[in-house]
Amino acid sequence: MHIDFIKDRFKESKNQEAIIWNNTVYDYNFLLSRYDFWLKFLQENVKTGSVVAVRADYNPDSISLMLALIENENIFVPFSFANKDIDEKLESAQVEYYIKFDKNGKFDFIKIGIIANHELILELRKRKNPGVIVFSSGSTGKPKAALHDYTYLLNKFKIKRETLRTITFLLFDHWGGINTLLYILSNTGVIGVPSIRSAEEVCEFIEKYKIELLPTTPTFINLILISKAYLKFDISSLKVMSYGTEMMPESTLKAFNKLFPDITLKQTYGLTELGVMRTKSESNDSLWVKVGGEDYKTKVVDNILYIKAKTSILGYLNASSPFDEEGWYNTGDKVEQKGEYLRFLGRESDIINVGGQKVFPAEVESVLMQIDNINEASVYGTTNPIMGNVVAAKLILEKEEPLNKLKNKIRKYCKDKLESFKIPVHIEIVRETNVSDRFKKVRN
Amino acid sequence: MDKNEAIKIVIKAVKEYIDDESVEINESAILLGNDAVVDSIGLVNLIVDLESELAEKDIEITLTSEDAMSRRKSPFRSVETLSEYIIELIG
Repeated sequence: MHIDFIKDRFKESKNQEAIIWNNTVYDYNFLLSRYDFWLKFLQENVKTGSVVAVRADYNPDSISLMLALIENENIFVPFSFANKDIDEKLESAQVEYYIKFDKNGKFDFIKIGIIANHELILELRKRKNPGVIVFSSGSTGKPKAALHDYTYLLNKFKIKRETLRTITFLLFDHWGGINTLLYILSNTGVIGVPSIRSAEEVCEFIEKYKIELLPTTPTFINLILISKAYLKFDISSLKVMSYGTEMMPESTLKAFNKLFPDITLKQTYGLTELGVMRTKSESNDSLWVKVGGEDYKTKVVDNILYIKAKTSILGYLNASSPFDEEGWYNTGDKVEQKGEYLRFLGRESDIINVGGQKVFPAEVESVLMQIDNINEASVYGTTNPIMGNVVAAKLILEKEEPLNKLKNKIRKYCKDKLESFKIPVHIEIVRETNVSDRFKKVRN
Repeated sequence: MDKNEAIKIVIKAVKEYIDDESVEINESAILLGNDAVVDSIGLVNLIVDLESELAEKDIEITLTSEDAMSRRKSPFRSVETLSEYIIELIG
């Protein structure tokens, strides 16, 4: 009943390409047959309303299973292969059944022996609605288990819209990834799953399967630029590259626009607790965006963005509610305001405090990356007995250069572009900077 | 290392950091306070530069120790006092 409209669309498009996985193209008919298998499996093995975790990459089975879980009114807890603390998360999400895929798509079915009885789970069962639990990383402390009512998201996709041939770049456990996936499925578009997520592999995949939309991160866009993988493969089928989840260095934005004037760069803004919001950039090479849409209200207090949403989570299973009495959510994102437009400066928790003055790593990284011979910069704070903290940078160079010469060059270049306390005191040349499994910058 | 050599190293580091030919730097150049040739973040940079310069000569010292910070008269007052402090730390 919950996904009747999606099933109907699948039937209408049954001979169309649905998913490209392991170098094979599967059609919607195949997804329908796997869906029938999984729904039967769940009806025989799993109680309606119970909490079911699935560890997988995007593949025909995991996607069909996700749809079957919605239909069976289960609470779905997605994990990806990047998750390292699954045991702890199984516990905090009160997972009752665990379906564990390996990388070839084979699966194990495990009955955990927990009885889920959290009041929010009981509330969702009372509504007879399917749910999703996603984990919010948070800057400190334990990951928080955030419970969504799935029907809010499904309702959003009842109106049919255009889709592009899309790569699922965000991992299976990511709220933004689930949003993208459901959007494509409900509009019977094409999902591409590249096997290895390096810049070269992704560019090769784009060429081979004529991909039009790559949702990604600024770090990955930078990796494409550095690797020059776009010279080896033809990526001209791309129409849109979207990015969110971390700060875009202005240097990357400008370099990209120069190389690919025909690809639209689109900034998205999403939060595990609220959903993915529509954004509108001032222009293709601008970092100023309008955030929101009819379902969201925003306000800025002390340069921090607060959001009130129609479709926010019911709450956390292992933490107190993140909303204030009026329903506002503190995003922890520092922003600048210009009329209706906002510019994201960085996470409040990333700010380096140099003798009482605030430094945003992204701003410094952006200037460093304009300098000749610097390919990539990762800026962080390090303690200093005089200033409390000072700015430090790890750099990847194009070709070798003595550290002293480099340091002088950086100081000269930064002198009239950054205030003196923002200019890195410590410089380290490295072969690679830390990038997480999700292609986000790890600053330290 | 003697005091003259230390002074030379400090002067060279100050000059490189300031990067302004018109500013004359000698051993009496002030590094702290209103008359200083560098601002506070400049001093921090200078200290880090000096530590890495000395490390290249296999002299591993930390200039910003608790001792340096808590002295009644700061060793960072001038090129001369900083040079003396380096000599003292090398021992």
